Amino acid sequence: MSGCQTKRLDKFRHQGYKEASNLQGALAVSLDADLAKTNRSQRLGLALLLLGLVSGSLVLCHLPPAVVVSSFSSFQTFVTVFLGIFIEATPLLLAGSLASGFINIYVDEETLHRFVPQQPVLATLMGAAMGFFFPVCECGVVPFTRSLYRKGVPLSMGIAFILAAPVINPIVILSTYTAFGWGPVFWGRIALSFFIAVSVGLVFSTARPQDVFSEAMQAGCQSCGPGSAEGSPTQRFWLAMSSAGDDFLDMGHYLVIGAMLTAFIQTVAPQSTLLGVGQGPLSSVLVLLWLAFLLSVCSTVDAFLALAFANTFTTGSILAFLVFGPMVDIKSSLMYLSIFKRRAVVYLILLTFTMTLAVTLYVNLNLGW
Amino acid sequence: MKVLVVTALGGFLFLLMYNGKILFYINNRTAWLMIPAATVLFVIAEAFRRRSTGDSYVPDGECAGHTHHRTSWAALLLVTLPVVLGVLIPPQPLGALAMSNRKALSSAPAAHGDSQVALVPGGERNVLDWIVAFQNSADLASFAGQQAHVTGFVYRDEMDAPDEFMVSRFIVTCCVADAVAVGLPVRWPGAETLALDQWVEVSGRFELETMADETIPVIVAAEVVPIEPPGQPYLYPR
Repeated sequence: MSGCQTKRLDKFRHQGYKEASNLQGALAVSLDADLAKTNRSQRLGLALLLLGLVSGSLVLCHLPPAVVVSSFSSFQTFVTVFLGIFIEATPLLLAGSLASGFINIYVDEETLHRFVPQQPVLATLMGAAMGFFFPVCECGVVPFTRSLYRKGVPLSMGIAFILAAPVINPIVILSTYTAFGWGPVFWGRIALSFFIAVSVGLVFSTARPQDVFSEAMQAGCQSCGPGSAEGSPTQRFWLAMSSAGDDFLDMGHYLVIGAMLTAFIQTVAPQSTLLGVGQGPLSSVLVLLWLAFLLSVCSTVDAFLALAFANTFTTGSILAFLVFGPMVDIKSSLMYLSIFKRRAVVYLILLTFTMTLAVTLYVNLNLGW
Repeated sequence: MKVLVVTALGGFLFLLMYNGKILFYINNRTAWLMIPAATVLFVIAEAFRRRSTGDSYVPDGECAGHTHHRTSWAALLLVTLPVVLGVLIPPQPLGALAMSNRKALSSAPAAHGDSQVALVPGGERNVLDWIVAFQNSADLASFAGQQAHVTGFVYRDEMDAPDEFMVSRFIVTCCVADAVAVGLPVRWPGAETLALDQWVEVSGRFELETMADETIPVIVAAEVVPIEPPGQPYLYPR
């Protein structure tokens, strides 16, 4: 292992990251020992859970109907809503994975580098605008931006891109349209995300790069960047597909968790409680902002989760969920730490949070959306 | 590695199998997407298979680690969960039993409040059409005497008298996740004998009645016929 990789490895070991799928391949191989231990107990735990679910539902099917009708029918409703969200989301998640798989193997940022403007405001605007063309989800955007930075893209531009790309790309636009149609949610999501991405990027344009970039970035570590794979077209195609498949499984399991939690809330929480929280102009926004942070669901499909709250929560809070979620959540915060220093990431989160809160609160209180 | 192949394949088979019942879960308009989705899953499974048998290209040097991407077991099992649940639990559309924590509304969500409803002849209006018509009209009394012919599932709660029930439908704007139940009150002597969630066809006339301090049109049913649940149980905006 090169000295560069050891340094990064130590840094991550200290901070206890075990999410191998978020780290680069080289690191994943070296973290094998830790993983093996966690994997065995994880495997056992989940196998037991699955076994419990299977036997539980088989048993339920054979019990006298009156006894379990209410709890079983709630479970059935839960499954219907959960599967509804998951199945509706699957084609779009696949589309996003295919896109990131192909970007990974085929796109080379050398060409992009030539078009970078020098003036910071323009560069930031361009960074956000680039988001329209790259169908990456929050997972894919980090490695891509890392490569961009290595090619010398300015700090503010990269930040604007990292915040905007997960939201204003074609696939997310399509899924938002499918879920909400042409409406305030659709346009609001695009406009607000663009605005926040550019603003935060501009704020960071005043900072010194060495204060913001993490040590690993500053040490100039090279890694397997996109477009560096060679081989025949067929080989590259299968490589892209398996990369897409990996991304799909990674993003898929977060989708399952998110869909389960959302379906659970919708099935179990009485409508009156949801309305009580959901209609308050401030409470609705805070709850959905918190939920957005918690559920690290890929932005290509989070619109479908937001739908579960469409009838009980204010429009402003739905907007907050859809704008904040793709920019900042548990998973993406962890990934940002691979590029930026901890303090910079905290500022990023706080800035995005405050801006989203302010605008959506304004929407709730003043605009009758 | 084989598990990955199986998972992807399982996903594919699962989706195909569902093409009939899939309308219980998702929107008509997007149902066609399942075919390309399943195809892509198949291709991905093939890509995984090639990778595991060593057929595929492995770049040298720094990139070597990158292709040996490890998906954790937890992630794999989670992704299998929808397949497992989908197979084990027989597909059921949302019905009366899904209303344990929600009420049937007598007003429709905004996306459905379309004045196009006025163009639909009375005999063909469904539950949603009538509700939208009531919402858009200034005078509910104008509905008295009009003929109604609607289908829906039976919903009753403890507050209903023995000859009252609601003929209800779930309204979906995009997908099951945003489903809302709406219903029309029906007065029929045999209401008590109807099973919850039973699908029925109701024919009758609207009469204005006062219920819980509100004067609303109620269907006085001449006939209530049990029917088979329809293939597409949800109502979408017109």
